[in-house]
Amino acid sequence: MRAESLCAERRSPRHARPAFFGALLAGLLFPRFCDASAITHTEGKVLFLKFGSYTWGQVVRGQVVGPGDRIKTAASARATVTFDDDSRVELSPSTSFTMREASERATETRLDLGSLRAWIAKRRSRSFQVRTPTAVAAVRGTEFSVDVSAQGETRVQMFGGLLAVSDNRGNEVLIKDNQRVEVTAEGIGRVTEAPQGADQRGSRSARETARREVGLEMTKEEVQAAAALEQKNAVYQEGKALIDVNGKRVRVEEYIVRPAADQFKLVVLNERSDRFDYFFYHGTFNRALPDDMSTALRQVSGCIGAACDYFLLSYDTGRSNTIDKVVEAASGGHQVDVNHNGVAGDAVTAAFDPATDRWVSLTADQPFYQTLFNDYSIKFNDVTHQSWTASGLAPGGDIQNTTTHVTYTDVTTVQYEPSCAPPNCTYTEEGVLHQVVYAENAGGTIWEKYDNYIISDEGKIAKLSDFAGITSGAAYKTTLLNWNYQQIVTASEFGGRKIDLVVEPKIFIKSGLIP
Amino acid sequence: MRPWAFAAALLLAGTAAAVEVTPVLNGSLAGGQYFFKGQKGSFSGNAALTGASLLKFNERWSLLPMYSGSYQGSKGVEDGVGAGTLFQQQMDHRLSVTGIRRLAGTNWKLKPSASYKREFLKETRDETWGKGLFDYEKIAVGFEAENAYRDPFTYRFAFDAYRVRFPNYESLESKSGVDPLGNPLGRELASKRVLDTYHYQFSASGSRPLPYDDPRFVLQVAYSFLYQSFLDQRLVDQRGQFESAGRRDVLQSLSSSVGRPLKVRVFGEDARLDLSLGLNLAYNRSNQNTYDAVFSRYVPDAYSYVMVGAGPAANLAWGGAKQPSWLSGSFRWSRQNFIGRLAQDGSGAYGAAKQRQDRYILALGYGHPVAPSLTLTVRTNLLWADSNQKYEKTYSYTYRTINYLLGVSYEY
Repeated sequence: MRAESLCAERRSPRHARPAFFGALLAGLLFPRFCDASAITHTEGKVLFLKFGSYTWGQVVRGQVVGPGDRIKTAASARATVTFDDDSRVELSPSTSFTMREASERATETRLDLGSLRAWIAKRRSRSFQVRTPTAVAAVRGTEFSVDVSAQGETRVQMFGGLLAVSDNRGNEVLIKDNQRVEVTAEGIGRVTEAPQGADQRGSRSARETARREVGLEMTKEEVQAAAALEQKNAVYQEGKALIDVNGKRVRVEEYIVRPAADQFKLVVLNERSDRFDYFFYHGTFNRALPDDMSTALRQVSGCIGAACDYFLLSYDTGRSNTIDKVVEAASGGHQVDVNHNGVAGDAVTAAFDPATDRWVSLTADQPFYQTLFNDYSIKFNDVTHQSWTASGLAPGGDIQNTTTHVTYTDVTTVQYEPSCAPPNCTYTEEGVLHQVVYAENAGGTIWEKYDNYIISDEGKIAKLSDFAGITSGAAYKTTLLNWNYQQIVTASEFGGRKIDLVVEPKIFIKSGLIP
Repeated sequence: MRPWAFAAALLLAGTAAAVEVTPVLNGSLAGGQYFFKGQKGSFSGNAALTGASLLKFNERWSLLPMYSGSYQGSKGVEDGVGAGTLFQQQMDHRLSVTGIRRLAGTNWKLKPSASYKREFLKETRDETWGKGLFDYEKIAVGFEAENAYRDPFTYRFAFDAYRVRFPNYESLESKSGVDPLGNPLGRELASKRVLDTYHYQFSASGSRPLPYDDPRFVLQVAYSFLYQSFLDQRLVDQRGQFESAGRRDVLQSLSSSVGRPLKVRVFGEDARLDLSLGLNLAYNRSNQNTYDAVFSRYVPDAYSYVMVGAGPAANLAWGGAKQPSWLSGSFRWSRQNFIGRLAQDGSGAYGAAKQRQDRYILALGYGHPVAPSLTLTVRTNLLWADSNQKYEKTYSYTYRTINYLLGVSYEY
């Protein structure tokens, strides 16, 4: 509210809330020297005692405050007294305030209890004083607060400008920006720096309020953002986001589908920004699978000591980039102790032990039962590269131990040096775990190539030193589990395209793709 | 509110004669580096800007429109460090508006609010701004009631509802199609937007001087109850298949701190030393389970956990009260105990023990004013983590990481 209207209210009390034109006219007729002060804002229960009266009444906004008039605010109530030069005093809850003098030369107020905060205009030509039971604060052009406790102790705090504070004994100190002083019946205390917001009883400045609200908003945002971060971390923890050997993001999802009671299908999906690849391993067991498939799946790679309870009758695996495909299919699965079948080449020296959930080394005479399949084929875009078929083999017969009952069709054969040279050759890159396997037919018109990398989550190729000289056996497979396996497949049928898969090594170990 | 409308409102509000406008501007610019397990990220910069205007229409109504944005080229020590991606750039923009209504005759303020945030993240070389896998947007509305019973001491009650959406993240399974034999690759009930969530949060907090009439300590307590509904994430059963029911989490957290402001003498001048000790507890109850297809292992109750944290902090400020020099330090320990998630050994074998992780964070900072409103800052953070989860192929649980940042901050 402007000062002009305050003056108008004083001259024309019956028009306490003049309309705009009234205020304008009053402003023109009655200039600033009218020395008016009035209550311009109230909240809650604010009582007013007119000088000479004995009855407290509820204050009305616009109430002119003259010498000797008193104001009381109840708990949770507030009031603002505004002067004709825009200076104002805000009274806090539970405050008792008296206007002692309001003249052209001086404004003198008294604060018996509670607190006030004052904004005194710098152009003010008269002095402004706040008296308390123990102190006097005198000022020109400043912002400060005064608190008075029930015992009369006074605390004065400056927010801007210069303020003289004196006690009842005539001692006086000057306090400046952000300083404060306490005055008691014993006298004036030491001037100290005001703590930031820890014990101000006055109302906040607009900037403090703004900063505080901004701080609260930012704190709330931190809490809400934490929820998003937790989602992201969960994805990483589940191994669903990796980086491949080319520095590209690979998303990975691995899960098991159960198409029938005796079947499972392990699926690995890979997505990069520009491609989608997948691998699946679909198996049919000799019996219905339990709810907890780990019992059965742990036996897929073989069993130590005795034949497996669960073994595969058939399986098919597929690798695809959604255009090209590599499909393996095997059937006629049955159990054979490969360490006692008279064939040295298929003996197993390291195996996964379901009892301990670990890779263990096997002794030469330790029985190890694996599933052998009578029929097998691998096709690239429906073109067979290798296959075998057993015919006339006795039930449970061992195809490893016969040459008369099995027909092999090897369209492509693996190429080793010196008959070939990289890149179309089988070799291991020096110092790192990057292996190339290349196979082709006699004329080189049908070929397949596998680039196998052992990589970290950040896409770095493992060094041989990371495996500390371990290149085979249980220790190798155990160490391998801590890395990712990337396999890039190209073939004569793919038209220059590739199938690029990043998978958990254990999946390939289980499915026999890593021997 | 659309961004242009928001900006226009800010400008128009600033010109309205009846409105008292108080702008607040904070900014910071810093450069630094990040080290993780002996590797170091490249030197890069961070920047942050917060701008707001408190628009006071009258004694009862105010409005706080606000923009905050940041760019982070150097990872913070807590930014998903376990994933080990050293290459990370993050950018976010947030617009919010908060109404502030003072209730006449009381100490109450009512604050309805709304905000929109978009965060962009580049973690790999083939991700571009807007195409990051973990980009997300958040839309929030809230309502808070605050009682400044003895300013600046308050107690507050709030309700917030917000939706977090990852626009670039859909489950691969939902778009997997069929295999070459014509059989479906995905499971039945496979859902699509598995990370998107709705959050409903109730919180209560307060601060109190101790003793009340002659404050020497400041006590702060906060409690929150957060209900999280995963819109499209179905529960996993013991066969590794989906159930029709969806995932729901309830996160309750309780935090408290005791602060002690002290006056001390530093370099022959008065200084302020703020000491505090914090304690927080959190309990997340989730109905989701996991199925580890690689190890054929069903893990029930995999996301429920209890977390406890504690630690001291100190801040020393000296020089001018408006723009002091400051030195800060804090140490924080936290432990997260999963209720159902099992620890694995180095090769992935599951044991009987439940997974736990301890984290220790040491943060140090120094600020020195170099010009009005401008402060030179130096910060460093050290985090070390330890866990009984030894299978670290996809995520690190035991590691040390450190970053440092040199820069300036501006406050108006």
